[in-house]
Amino acid sequence: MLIERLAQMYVHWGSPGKTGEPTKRKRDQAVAAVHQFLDVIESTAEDRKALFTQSQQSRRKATKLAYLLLAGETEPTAIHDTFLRSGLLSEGQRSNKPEVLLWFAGTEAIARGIHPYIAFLIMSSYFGLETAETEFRWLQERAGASGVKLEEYIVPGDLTDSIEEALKEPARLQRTIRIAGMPLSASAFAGCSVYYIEKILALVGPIGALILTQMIQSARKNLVSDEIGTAQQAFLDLFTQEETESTTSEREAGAAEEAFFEEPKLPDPELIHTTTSLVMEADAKILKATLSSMSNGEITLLLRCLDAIAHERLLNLISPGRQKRVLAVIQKTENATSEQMLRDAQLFAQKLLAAYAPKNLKPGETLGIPEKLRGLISYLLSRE
Amino acid sequence: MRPFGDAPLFFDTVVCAILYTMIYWNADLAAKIRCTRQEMETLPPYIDHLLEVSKTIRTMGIRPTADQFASEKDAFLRYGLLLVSEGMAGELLEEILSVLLYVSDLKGIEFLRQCVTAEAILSIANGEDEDTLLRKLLPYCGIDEALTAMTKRKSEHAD
Repeated sequence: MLIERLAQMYVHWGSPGKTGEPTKRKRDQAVAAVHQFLDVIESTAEDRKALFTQSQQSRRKATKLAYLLLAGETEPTAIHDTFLRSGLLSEGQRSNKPEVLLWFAGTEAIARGIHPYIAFLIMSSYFGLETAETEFRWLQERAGASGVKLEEYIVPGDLTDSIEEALKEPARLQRTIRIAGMPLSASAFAGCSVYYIEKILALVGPIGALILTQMIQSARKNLVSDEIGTAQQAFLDLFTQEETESTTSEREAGAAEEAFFEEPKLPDPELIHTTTSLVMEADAKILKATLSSMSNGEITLLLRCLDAIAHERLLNLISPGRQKRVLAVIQKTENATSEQMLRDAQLFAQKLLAAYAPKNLKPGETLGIPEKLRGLISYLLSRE
Repeated sequence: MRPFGDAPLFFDTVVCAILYTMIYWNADLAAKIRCTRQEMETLPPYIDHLLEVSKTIRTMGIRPTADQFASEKDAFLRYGLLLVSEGMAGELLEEILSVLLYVSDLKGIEFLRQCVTAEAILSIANGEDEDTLLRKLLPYCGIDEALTAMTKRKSEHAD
């Protein structure tokens, strides 16, 4: 439950202190610094020198540290440790705690490969509800004015064939996009015609539409037809599953209530076997990169889908500090249904696939994934 | 001064329902969500409202227009639904909502209501059905209230 995450924040960071109402001038300055951060991240991309220059030009310590860590391509876990050791969160600095945490959260989000717009929304939430909504509206306008356009690129597949039917149920399609997540949705839509993509993008607001558009562009650069086809199948499976769930929900209502205090179902051994094989077969470097892009919570959920031997391999690829945090999350994790476990395993497979794709891969080139691994990924993503 | 005001009442209601499930106990947070049984009795009607919102979104979807949710007076719910309308869900939405709760200046029942709202927003975004949503929200009303409501629903279903 969300309250548990909140409790963790209190335990980890202590009370936020008297956030109160900072003076308007101070708040405006802090908001302007976050706007500038978004501009810099968008314009410099991976230009380490520009990020380093920005660090030198920043006056505030937390801002300076944020740019410096990104310029040094620091691992997300190391960012956490560095902010803790920086002294910025120590007793004497308590009045600035939400602002320091804001920079920590933004830096970590960018290092994890999260889209800059999402990182901006995370950062602006530290200003409180009112400012967060104002900044959200500002971001909506900015996204709406961006004018990013897609070119025609069609990959034949199940989704391409059935998208017109899917669009007749916008509520279900919106729900599937949210459940699948932006990366998987974008990989699936990458093979659809611009005509249909525009109709899909109209189902989300301007921020979501821009993020999806940019992810579609990235997927078209980094994935080959096979991968896009697999993503289409996985998205379609989720879409179909949503239909099944909604039509049977009333029938199952009574059963769900009876199950309120029942023991959870046993996990699916085949799913665990496949996911374990995937982890054991994957290249260590790629696996490490995949884990870097995952949150502690996501790693915890993945661990539930694995045999002990794969636990050992995964945990050996993350830092001791992160191991402790992941293990701490495990203790509070509820037992999952086999459907939830399948989704968690599919999310991991999608991220692993993305990690195998080099940034300069041209359309038509084949990814360097071993055949066995390719088979395991395809099998996992196509499962219902 | 007693740290939790009416301590037995507090433990009977909030602690049993929410904090008992936490591995991570924190006194500051416990003090922040402290409220009386009478105050907590205002939660079930609010949960009914959230269930209605969830049902509407599940069947009708969200029209991502500029004035979407403009009529929603609850600022926390409005902002959360705006995030959902952008396609946000899962871990990232949870992060934003928990930060908003972390920096919230509200206390007592108003803060507890925000916690319930955040839980509902996350559940709606993740496409969870009414029963799952209810199972997540009812414990915020206290364990007694949750058990009563679940038993009532079960008997209604049996009828």
